[in-house]
Amino acid sequence: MMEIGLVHYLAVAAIIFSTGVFGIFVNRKNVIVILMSVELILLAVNINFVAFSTHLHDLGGQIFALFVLTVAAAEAAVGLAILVVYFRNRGNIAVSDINLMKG
Amino acid sequence: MGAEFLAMILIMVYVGAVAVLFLFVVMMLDIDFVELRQGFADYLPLGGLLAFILTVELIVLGASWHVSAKAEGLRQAPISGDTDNLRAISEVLYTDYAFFIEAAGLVLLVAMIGAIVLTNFHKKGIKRQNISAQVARKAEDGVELVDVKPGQGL
Repeated sequence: MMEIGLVHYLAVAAIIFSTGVFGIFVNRKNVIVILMSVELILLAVNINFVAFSTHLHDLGGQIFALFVLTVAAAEAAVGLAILVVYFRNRGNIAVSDINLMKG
Repeated sequence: MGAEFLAMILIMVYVGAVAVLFLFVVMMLDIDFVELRQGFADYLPLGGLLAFILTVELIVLGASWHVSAKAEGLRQAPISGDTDNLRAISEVLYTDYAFFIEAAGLVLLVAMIGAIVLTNFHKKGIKRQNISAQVARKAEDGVELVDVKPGQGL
């Protein structure tokens, strides 16, 4: 039985982070997918925080992961709200069409 | 690992809040996703290559990690070991990090108000209840006593 250590958690976080970056790279049109990718990247950061927190026996990492989670949730809510308003004004959410700063 | 609280909170927030939020928005916006997926194949090789390189780099970085000898003395909130995770978190969260949790609450409040203000819009031509007008209404305004003479209508 292989013991799961810090490296395994870091590897999972690395894979999730790369998935997020890959999602942003590949998807050049859909804003919703880009927002989801940002969430994935933040989740990978959270996993790293918790892994190092337990590895170093320091609670600070877990506390900070909690705050990262708060900001991620707030960001998702505001981002999707902006997206809904944008869709209501323009009728589509293609990234290439987002080129004017006036509503 | 001994981080049960974070595990629970992460699942609850991501499944319960973020995933449902995304589902609602995807459902609400009537979008042709096939059209948005065009160009996927063009970026696939480069994106896949970059993601693969990034993954390998990060895993190599993580595998070669070793803890400095000075790390022991730099701990902000050491885990004692005899208290459980939830108690340990709450003991530092509401004392040392009290300001930060207030700030986090404020961030959530601002995000909530912002989301509501952004998505709320008044449609014209909908009859709305005017509560102050209803409350301010008096019996004299509503009832009119008319002295009707016999044999005549109003």
